[in-house]
This record gives sequence, structure tokens and C-alpha cells, in this order.
Amino acid sequence: MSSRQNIQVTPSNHTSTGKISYKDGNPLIQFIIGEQERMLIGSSVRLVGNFKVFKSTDTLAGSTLRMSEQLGIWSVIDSLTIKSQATQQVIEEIRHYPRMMSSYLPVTSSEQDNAGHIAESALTSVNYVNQQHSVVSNPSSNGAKGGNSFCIALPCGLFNGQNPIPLMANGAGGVGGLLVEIQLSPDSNVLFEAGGSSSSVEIKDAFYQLSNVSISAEVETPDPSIQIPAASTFEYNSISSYFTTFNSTNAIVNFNLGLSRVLGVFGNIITASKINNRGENGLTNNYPVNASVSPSSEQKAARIQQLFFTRGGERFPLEYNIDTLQKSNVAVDADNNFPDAQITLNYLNAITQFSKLRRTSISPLNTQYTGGEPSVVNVKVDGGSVAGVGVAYDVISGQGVDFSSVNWGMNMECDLTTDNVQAFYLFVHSKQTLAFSADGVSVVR
Amino acid sequence: MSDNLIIIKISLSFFKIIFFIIIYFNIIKYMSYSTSSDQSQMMASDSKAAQAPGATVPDLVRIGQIPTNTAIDIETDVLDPVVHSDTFCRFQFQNKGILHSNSKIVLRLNTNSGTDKVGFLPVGVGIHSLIERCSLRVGTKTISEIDDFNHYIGYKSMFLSNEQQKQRELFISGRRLAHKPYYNEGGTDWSGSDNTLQTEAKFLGLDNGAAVDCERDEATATVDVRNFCEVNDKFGPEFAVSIQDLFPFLYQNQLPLFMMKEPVTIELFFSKAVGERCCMNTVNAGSNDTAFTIDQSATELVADYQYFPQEMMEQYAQQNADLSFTFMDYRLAKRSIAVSASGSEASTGQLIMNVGGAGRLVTKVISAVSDDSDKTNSMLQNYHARGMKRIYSGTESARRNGELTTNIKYNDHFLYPVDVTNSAQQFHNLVQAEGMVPFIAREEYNFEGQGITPGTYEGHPQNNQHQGLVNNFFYQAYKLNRNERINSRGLELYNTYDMFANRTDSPNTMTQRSYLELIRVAQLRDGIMDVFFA
Repeated sequence: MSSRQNIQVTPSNHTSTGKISYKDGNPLIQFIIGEQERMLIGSSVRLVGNFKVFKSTDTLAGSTLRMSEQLGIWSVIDSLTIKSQATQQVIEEIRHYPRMMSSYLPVTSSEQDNAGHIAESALTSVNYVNQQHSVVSNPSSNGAKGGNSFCIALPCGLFNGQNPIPLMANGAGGVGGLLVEIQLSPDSNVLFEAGGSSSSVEIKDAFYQLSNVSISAEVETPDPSIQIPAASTFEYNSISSYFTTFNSTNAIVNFNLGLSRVLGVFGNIITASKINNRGENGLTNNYPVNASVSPSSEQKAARIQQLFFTRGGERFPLEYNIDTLQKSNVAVDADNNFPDAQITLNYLNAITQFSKLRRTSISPLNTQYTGGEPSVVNVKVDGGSVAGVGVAYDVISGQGVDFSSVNWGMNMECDLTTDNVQAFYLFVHSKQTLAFSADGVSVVR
Repeated sequence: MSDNLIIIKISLSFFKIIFFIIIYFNIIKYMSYSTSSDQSQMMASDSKAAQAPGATVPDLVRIGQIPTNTAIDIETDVLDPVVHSDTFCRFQFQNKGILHSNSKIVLRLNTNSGTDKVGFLPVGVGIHSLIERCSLRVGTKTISEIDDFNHYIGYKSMFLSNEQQKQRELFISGRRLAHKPYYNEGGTDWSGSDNTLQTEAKFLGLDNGAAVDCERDEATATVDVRNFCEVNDKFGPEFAVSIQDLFPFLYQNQLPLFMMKEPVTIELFFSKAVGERCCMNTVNAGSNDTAFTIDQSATELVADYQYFPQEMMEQYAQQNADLSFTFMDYRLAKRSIAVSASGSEASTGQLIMNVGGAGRLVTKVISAVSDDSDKTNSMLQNYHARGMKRIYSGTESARRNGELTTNIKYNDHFLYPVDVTNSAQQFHNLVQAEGMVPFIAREEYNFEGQGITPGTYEGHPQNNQHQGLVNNFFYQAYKLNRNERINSRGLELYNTYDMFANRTDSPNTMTQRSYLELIRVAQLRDGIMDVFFA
């Protein structure tokens, strides 16, 4: 009979002080889940530790420092890489991890989740002031004990899969152990000043620190009577990330995905100048916005007029343009602040099959078109801004659509009439196969 | 001659092969029945077999979809208790049909005259606060029993979603632990920009469906109990308890009463009328001698019996003359922990508590500590799980959130390779053990941050650990995942409590409760129920 055990793995590349921060020049955390005759239960993998915020002056009480209430501790993970420990081959890599999470999390968790169990494990909150007050300014975060403890899952294709991951040696039917690498985000993209100042005393020397970091997980010892084949395959849903920018009324995005079983794509947008800006929330989502035109400081929303997706230059999977409400000739519709329901529905459906979506934070209040200035975009209710575009390719068979030899494309017509570069993060949800044998591991994309 | 011998040999070999194939399949069939640890799966496989031609009887007692278009008749009986006092009551079912697991027991409290006698049901457990122990008996055998049930249900109630608590449980059982952000808006202080007024919510607080009277800084936000949860001179709250909450195995199985020859009874042992049933507002909380008695004229069991077509039930009874199923039962172990007077509290040091389970299959251990001095003068009553003391004032180096260091040892090995001190990881272990997430706020679990409103509920500040919500849901749960039977030494719980806060200036006690989830087997043979440990 098989049985399970708990393991706790500390970082392999850090000193015993257990303090890790981007500021101190060690932004990479490595965990080795060694080669062993056991299987890793991917869904049980958790990153555990304590989170602290420091600034130049002693106290954080009443501070205007903030971090993303939507992402909480996930905002410190810039990229997640999982390799075979034996061969160092990359099994899965998700860059722009917090950007991916800023789409995934609000779509798949409700307001009550974010105020409750996710707040407990990941330091999120349903409201920005509540998060600032209870996490960033937590009086004990820099104290003798405790503070902001966290214990988060690392959502990715490999760990989200249903099958246990064989940790055995390459020739014994396993991947040869796992090497999990977490690249930390820069302080300037995690912490920001609520008032929009990038040079105030509050923010200029502020940084975060992790301590007592480890990975906990469950492993399963297989039934000894079961023969494990020396070579095998392992199928999982992976996330691939892409990045580009646009700065016109007609945003045309093209990528050669090189993936053969694409289930869906989703992307989110932020004004490029907000990234790594201590006066801005570099992890917020918003629809495109214009630059402010003097003397006004308002960064007007650039409403989407039309949207369609292509495969090899043809409209696919929707064989028509999504002409939004704002494309109307009627002035009152053109100024409507709510994105077309088709955009929102397709975005949700790309992340989780819409008909199975039971809990979500999406509401008219956090998806609406707003200006891009910090006093507006950073104070949205119901867990923060949830904006994005996307489309699902296969919610029926689960086998996906072949983009290995044809280009993926998106055409978006919007009101971006000023010079204001928009960063577009694209995430592709695809089925991949991990093959392992005595020769090592390989990923069939 | 030699050709004939070869033919005979081949024939013998052929018959040997056939013989071994038949033996093999019989062994496989036998093993699939006799070695399955999950008898309910066994029953499921029976039902599949029953779908074969000539055997069309689905599994009627297993909760789930029945693969047939069968009309079900439901008959509801309202049963009065056969014995009833203010401390005990007993119901006896009629042995007919199949008992629906969501049958309800209705309980009501008497009115109390005098404004200083006003009380309300605890926020976390509602009417369940009345039940100290419940047991289900068949004949003279106890099938399921939970001691300190009101504490156990405090743990289970955490896993009800906020939506369910607010929209259903508030009206069914009086449980009402739902939250919402308290936005900075209100009629008494309408100032500032619209933007600020509509988006800032510094705190979370209770959401019982009523408007929150609050101002800009939320400090004075007040919520009062809904009238139907209150005991006063005109009204005593009446709510219902589901029998599947009382006996959790009924979530998976239903009792085929029509096949049982012995009397089936439910016994409820009530908590003390003084100091254990209700909470009181801060004005009256000093009147701890107020008795909240049960209105015995209202107590009844609303039993739903299901009937399938008669021939189907008869066939089912014939095919399952020897029926068995496994189920989870809970055993309580408790001890007290001394706490020094307020201001001189100290760590308990490592406490090793043997919680039993020797020789048993134990799948889970649930553990909680309650403060014996926090009863009527709080909004959760004594049905809470207290966490460690925190210090949020003074110098930065003096501030701290207390830690619990915990592990559990059985069969000479610890469950966790390193003792767990990180409270978020303890929360994760709780989730893993239960397979569900609790819907409680962060400060309510591990007392970290200041996210719960200082606003009051019946005068009790919600962010006060003795009176309110915070630091009162620090439940621990351990999933014993090694698939091992516990040896004769039993389970040893290793806990180091890094300082509990004492409300009083004199030494106090806490009570630690540990519930063991054990696997038991019930067997119904020729109408006689038997039960034993797996």
C-alpha cells in the first residue's frame, strides 16, 4: 500500500540567517527536491516564510507605503522555473509571474476568498487600505517574532496537475528530482507610495525581506508491488509568457507561439511607465489609458472599440470582430465606462471555463474603464482592478489547437490617441508532455 | 500411442489453464470484496452489479445519484421527544423507510424577563451551543457519539462559506460568521471626496445582513444582533439542527430504518443553562448567573423518511441482508493548561499530550484551546480556539506575534519533519487535513495584522480576543497521511504554546481539546446493527 510523508526543504543557496531580499543582492532562491524513490504531490507544494517591509525611518505605523492587495505575497515572485535536478533541463518556466497571477487570481477567487483564506495564506485583501493597514504596516512585521507569515501555492502547470510527479532517477521512471527556482521581484515593483510620489521619504529606501523561507510538500511512496516503467510520459497544462508593447489606436500583436496544443490565451495591460516605478503600482491591471494632456493630470481611458484574434492570419476561434458598445455612433455609448461583456466573458473563459467558474471577484466596479492616474487606478474596490483580454480555444476536448507552425495574432482598436506606451503581457495556456527516460527529460510542447 | 498421449497432455494442459483462469478470477473477485478498506466503495460496486440485467436495485443508502428513474416518496413525521428535561432529551425513530440525513431537530429557548437577562446565541455556533453531547444509538449500541459537540461544531462551522452563513445558516441554525469590508461611508460623516468615501475599507467586520452604523474611521462602527437570535422578555430564539451535523457519517450514508429491527434513538445532552448556552451584551455580561432554559414544548424532530417502490426496497433488503459500511467517528481527549495572571504570562514549555488512538486507524486529529474565563461575556461564548498573545506596542524589537510550535508523533515518527511554527503553514495543514478552506479572516486565525474592525457587536469589540472574533479560530488539524494503524503507544501531540493572554488578574486555565477522527465499521445483519473499530 502507498503511503504519504511530509517534507520541508530549505533554500540551497542561502545562508543560515534565513533572510532574503532583492535589495541585498540575492534575488534568486533555489530549492532542491532531491532525487528519491517517491512521488511529489504537486498540489501540496507550498512556499512558506515570513514577509517584512522596511523603510528608511523606524516605524511603519501610518506609513503610506503600499503593495498590491490583489496579489499579496505573490507579488514578490518575478519568475518561477522548475528544472530537473539531475539534468538541469527546464521543465517549466513562467516569467512575469505576478502579472500572470494578477489575471488568474481575481478571476478564480471571490471577494470572500480574498478576505478569508487567501488573505491568511498569501497576505491579500479585499481592499487596499485593509491590506496596507494589516500587512505593510503590521506592527509586528519587524518585531521579535511572527509578523506576516505566509504559505502559498505556486500555481503552474506542473504543480497544478492531478498526477503525482515521479522524483526517481532518470532511468528509473522519474524526472531525477526537481530544482525549483524563484526569482524575486525588485522592490520598486512590489512596494509603492500610495500618493504617487516616487521619491518621498516613505518610498525611496523601502524594501522587503523574506525570512525562514522553505518549501513544504507531501510525497508519496508508491506501493512496492507496482512496477514503475523506466521511461514514461507526464502530461500537464502549462503557462507560457510573452511580452510586447503597443502605442497606437490599432494594436496589432503577433507571436510565434511554437506550441502545439493551445487551450487558451489571456493577457493584461499596464502603462509601461508604471512598471518598476516606486510611485506607481507596477502590478495593477487596467485597460489602455492615454497620457495626460496639460494642464489636466487626467490619464483618460482608451476604450476598446474592436477586438479580434487570429490564427495564421485568419480570425479564429471567433470568426467575427467583437465590435464593442463603445464603437457605437451614439455618443452616450461611446463614452460608456463599462467594457463590452464579450470582452470580459472571453477573458474569463480563457482562464477558467466560464460554465465552471463558481467563484470570481469580477464585478462592474473593478472592470470598468478608468483613468490611469494612481489616485484612480490604485483605489479600486472588490480586490483591485481586473482588466484583460483573452480567448479560449478549446473548452470541450481539452486537446487544444495547434499553433506550432502558425502565428497567433490579436488586433485591438482602441482610443489610444496620445503617446503613452502600453505594456502587454500575454500568457498562453497549453497542454505539454514531459517525457523522461534514462536519456534525461524532454518537454513536448 | 504417443500421439494419443500428446493429445491427452494437451487436453489436460488446456483444462488446467481454464481451471486456473477460473480460480484466478474468483480470487480477484474475492479480494476486491474482502480487502477493500472502504466498505462504501464495496457498496458502490454492488450497485453497479445491481444494474446488470436481472438485478436492478441501486444502492439506496449511499448518498449520491441513483442511476434510475425512480420516484421517491418522502414522508415527514414530527416526533416529540420520548424523554425531555433541561439537560437531556431522547428521540426514537420509527423503523420505516430510509432516514433522510438532513432531517432536523428543532430547539427553542425560553423567554427571559428583565432587561438584564437579555442574551443572544453565540455567533460561531448558533443554536448548537445547547448541545454538549449527542449520540446515535441502535438498540443498546452507540453508533456515533461526539463529546463537547458545541466545541466540535465551532470547528466545523468555519468551513461554511460566508455566503452560506449569511443567507442560510443565519435563519436555520443561528450561525452567522460572515464578513464584509466596512467601507468608510455613513450618514453621520459624509465628508471628503466621493472617491475616498466609496473605496476605503480599513477593516473587515461581521456581516449579518443589517446595515453597519459606522463613521469615517470605523472605530465606532456598531452591529447588533438580529432580533430572532436574541433571548428577551418577548422572544426566545428557535432554530434547527441537522442530524448530519450531529452525526457526520450521515453526510455519506443514510440509515435504512426499514431494515433495522432494533429501536434507533438520538440522545442529546444539553449544556448548562447558566454560562454555557448564550452570550450577553457588555452591559449585562456581568450577570453570569442568568439561566437560559430550553422551551421543552417546542423541541421536536422533523424526520424525513424516503420510500422507493416497494419491490425495489424489498429486493434491496434481500440483496443486502448483510450490509456493512465504514464511517468516521470522533473521540475527544482534553486537558487543562494553567495560565499565569495577566501581565506575567509565560510560555507553557513543551507539552506532550497523549491523545489516544492506540490500535486504531486514525485519519485526522483536530486540536483547539479555549479560554475558560471567556464565556457569556463574549460574542463566541467558550466555543473558540484561542491563539497566542501578541504585543503590538512598545519598541519595534519588543513587538511580536506569539508562536505555537507543534508536531504530532505516532508509531515512533513525527508527522512533520520539522516542528511547525509558521502560523500560515499551520493554516495550510488545517486545509489539507479537512480538504476544504475555512472562511475566516487572517486576524481571526493567527492574530496577525489589524484587519478586523474595533467596532462592536452587542458592545463587544470585534477586534478583542476575549470578547470578539480575533485570535479565536486558531484551530489545528493534522492529516495522518501515512496509512498506518496507530501502535500501542498512541498519538502524542507536541505543543509549545508561546504565551496565552490572560484576561484576569488571577491565574486562569485554558482547556485543550483534541478530536481524533477514527474509522469504524457498521454492520447490519438480519436487521441487527453491530459496530466496531476498523
